[in-house]
Amino acid sequence: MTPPPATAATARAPAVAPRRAPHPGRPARPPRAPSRPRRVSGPARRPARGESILPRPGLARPRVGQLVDRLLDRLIGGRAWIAVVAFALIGIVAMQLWIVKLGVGIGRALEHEGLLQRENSTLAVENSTLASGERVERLALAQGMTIAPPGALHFDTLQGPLDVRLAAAALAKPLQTSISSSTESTAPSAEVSAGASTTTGSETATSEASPQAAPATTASSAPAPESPTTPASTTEAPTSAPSTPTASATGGAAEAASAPAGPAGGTQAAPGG
Amino acid sequence: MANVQARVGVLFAAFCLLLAAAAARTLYLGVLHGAALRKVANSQQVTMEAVPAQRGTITDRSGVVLAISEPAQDISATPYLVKHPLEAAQRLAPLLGRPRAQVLEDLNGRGGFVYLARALPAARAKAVLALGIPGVTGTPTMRRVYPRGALAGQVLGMMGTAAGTAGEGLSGLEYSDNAILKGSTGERRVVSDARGEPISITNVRSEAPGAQLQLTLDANIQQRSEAVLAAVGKLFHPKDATAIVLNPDTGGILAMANWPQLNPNKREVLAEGELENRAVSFDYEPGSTFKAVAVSGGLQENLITPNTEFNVPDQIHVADRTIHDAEVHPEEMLSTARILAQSSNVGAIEIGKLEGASRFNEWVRRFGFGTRTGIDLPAEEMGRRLKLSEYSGSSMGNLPIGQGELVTPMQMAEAYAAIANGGFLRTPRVVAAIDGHPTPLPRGRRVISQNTAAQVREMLKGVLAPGGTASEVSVPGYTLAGKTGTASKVNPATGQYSETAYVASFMGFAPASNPKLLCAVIVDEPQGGSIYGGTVAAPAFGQIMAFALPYLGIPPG
Repeated sequence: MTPPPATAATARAPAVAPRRAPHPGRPARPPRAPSRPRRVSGPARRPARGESILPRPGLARPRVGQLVDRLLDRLIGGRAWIAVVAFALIGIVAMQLWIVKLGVGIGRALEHEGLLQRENSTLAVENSTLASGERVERLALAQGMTIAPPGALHFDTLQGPLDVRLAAAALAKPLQTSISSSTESTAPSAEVSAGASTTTGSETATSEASPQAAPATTASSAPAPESPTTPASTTEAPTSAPSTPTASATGGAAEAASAPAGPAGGTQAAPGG
Repeated sequence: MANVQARVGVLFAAFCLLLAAAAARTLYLGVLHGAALRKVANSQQVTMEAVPAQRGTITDRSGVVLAISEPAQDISATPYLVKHPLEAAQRLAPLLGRPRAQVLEDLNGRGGFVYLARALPAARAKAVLALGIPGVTGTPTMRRVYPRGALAGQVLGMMGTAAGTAGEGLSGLEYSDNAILKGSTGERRVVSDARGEPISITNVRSEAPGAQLQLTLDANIQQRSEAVLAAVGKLFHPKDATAIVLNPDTGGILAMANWPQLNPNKREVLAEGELENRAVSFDYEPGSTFKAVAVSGGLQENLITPNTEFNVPDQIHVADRTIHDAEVHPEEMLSTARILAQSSNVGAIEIGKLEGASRFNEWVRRFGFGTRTGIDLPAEEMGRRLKLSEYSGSSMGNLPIGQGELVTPMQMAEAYAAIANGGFLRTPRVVAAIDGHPTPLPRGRRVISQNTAAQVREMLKGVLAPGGTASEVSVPGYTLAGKTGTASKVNPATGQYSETAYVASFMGFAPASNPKLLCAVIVDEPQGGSIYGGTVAAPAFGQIMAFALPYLGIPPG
């Protein structure tokens, strides 16, 4: 609290007498200069009612800086300021602690993020593995289902609205019935087998469970090495191996030079298709 | 009162002393030993951690994960810091999955640093570090996992694990798209307290995860194609085999299978050539499948029609050589369609002769042979198309029947896709989207008219019809079209066509009138009973199509 400005009266105050008598061996202290009035804590004196803090007319106008100084003096001169400073100090310390805790939290969050990332990757791997067609087929086989061979799938031509009604009725049957009925059926039926049927365009696909019941027109399930029919009925697969060129192997070298991988040979029984 | 004053004085003096002592200590710690202490503190409390970027995931067209990265750690040791190597080796070996003797050898090494394990799964790495063995540390990294094992192994490719190649793609898409899959590693400054708890974490450089690739492949069609090729491998013991399934309209590859397979998870055991994706890197003479090119050119030039008849003996002399049909037959009149269906060599040569070398060569070029297709896969070969100046007198006796030029399976598939889609030659592609943004559809260019394409498609139906070279193959409900091929291979030792080595192939699509799916099967050097495209490759084509057509919901036709 800034005391009121010293007045001429205080400046003229008599010197205060020493509290103790001077030591006999020491020289007497010089009299102390008159001290300024002791600082008194507390709010600044309020101007009396009607008294203006503005300079009286006729006096020199105080500068703005002085006004600001006085305002600041008033602001920080109160006891509340101590509380404010204390609060700020405690706040700073608390904030520091909070920052440290935040750091620790971030560290843990990052660790957790890594963990979740690991788990996510593991789950993605697991998901992909579980969705494998091979696994699904294996499980289906273990549950007694059979895989319809490629040749067992055939399409029936739609014959009027009756077939649609039958197909709709078949689709409405419970799944269990459809599985058992489809495993029992062995021959292509005019009726749509339930469950395993799909309607595509104007035709109906029927999947048969029995591999033996493959229609004559369907593809063989595995490539046949002997392939008895193809060579006999077509020119494609020669009965004489394509490696039986007739002799007229002249000029092979010239062709060999022009051929990309150095193929040469005068005559060739090109294997064809 | 005097006593109090004295006490206050003493207290003041004590405080002054303490203050002086503190100042002196501060001076000592902060100025005299400041640098050394700061260094020690930094090494103990401040660490710069590399934050590995998550490599982009590769999925199939429906989101099935084909390749993914998971956090892992490189476990390393500073041998001179390991006090009891024997005991440490005993504890570490089972967790590292290495023999104890090897680990002990590493720990007894003279070097100041040794890797004990690379890209160890995070859970196991955590267990290793939890042992608290001094001198054993972990460095965060990523580990590539292929959940479907060998599925599309050659297409996906492999990652390097050895020093220098770690984290880099070595083959396949992992190699060609390494830059976008890789992302960039970040760096983090971590200040820890005395207990090792991080109290301040600052990102010096943020990591950027790699882009996600969505492929055009379909995991189920790919799986079925590989299973079919495996069956072919078991039955015919070929050198290798490859199959391509693609959408002819978009050029999107739905399956690209190779046999033998490659399992990128098992990097340790690699047979020679196992990394090779033969669908793009196998140069071979196409044989009769090439006849469709000669016929397309003739039709487009209005030199022939499907009904144009040719007098076809069972052999023909071209310059200094004689070329035979596959079987002996009397001279007969065959239409263009029958020539294609029966795969008559003599007939195809007659068509080629009608076109002439110049025009034929131009059609071969237009169909994209002799240049790479531009598919987004690495190591693509370009085949070999003879320049017109390189033609010899007998070239036109060879080339129309698919001998004397080199092509790749991908080039053949692309050319047949043009026939299937109405005449557009479109660059095939494997990557459908990057980070969710679809890759642009290649524009393509017209090579033959829609009418010509339709005529060729119609003629190719005859190959799978009775009397055709693949008449045994059918898919119920669907009309198939295609062409068989059985090409002699050159014996590198003699420079002559081999009498035992052939390439059996089949190119086909369905439904024949409005093709939605194309499949190419190429079997290199089949053994064990048959060598012909019609009996080795065509049934495999049939099996793949029998699965894929209904699976994709393609209406019969």
